[in-house]
Amino acid sequence: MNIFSGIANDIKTVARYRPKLMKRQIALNKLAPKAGDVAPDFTLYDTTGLHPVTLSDFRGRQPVALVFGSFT
Amino acid sequence: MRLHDLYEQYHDQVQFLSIYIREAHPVDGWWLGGPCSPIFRRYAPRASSDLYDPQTIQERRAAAGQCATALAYGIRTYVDEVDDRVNIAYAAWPTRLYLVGVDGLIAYAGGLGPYGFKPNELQDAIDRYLLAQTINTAGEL
Repeated sequence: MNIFSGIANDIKTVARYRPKLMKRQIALNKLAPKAGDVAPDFTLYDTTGLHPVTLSDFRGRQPVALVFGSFT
Repeated sequence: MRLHDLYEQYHDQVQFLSIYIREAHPVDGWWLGGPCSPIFRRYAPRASSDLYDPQTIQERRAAAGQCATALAYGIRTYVDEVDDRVNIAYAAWPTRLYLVGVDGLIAYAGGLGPYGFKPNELQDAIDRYLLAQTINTAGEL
């Protein structure tokens, strides 16, 4: 595959995914909790699946910074 | 300001939780690993460009473990369930930052990443929050 066909494929991929994903992103953004809202509680496990954390356990103890993301 | 630096500076006063959510640019989705990848690499030099979107919680945990090792934030990583429940509750995809106060209320809600992902803003919010806490505590004495 030469670089031009590669770029053409990239453009096709962006055209295929971006509209749908951006639409979902914008819709989700409207639902995002704002400053002053109650933080939605959750319990999740770490990467071993053995150690849970519950957000509300930190109430009255420490502020919590939530960092959401993925590897790509 | 990098997240690792934020963690180093504030981890005694603030609990940091890194939450792994659905992949933003997997090979089987909106992949940025092609010829345009040098641009992607410039903005996310340690991100993966060869990961398929995990389909099970076991796959998610494995990918999250790789992510935590590669990005080396120093923050323990927790993994959202396959139904994306926490991601949806916080409208977090692809990346987002929040600060939750000791009262359980959102003290800072960052913008959607990548453009709204601003660790500097989180730092300002932490500084403001901790200062307000100090003033409140002094007022109670």
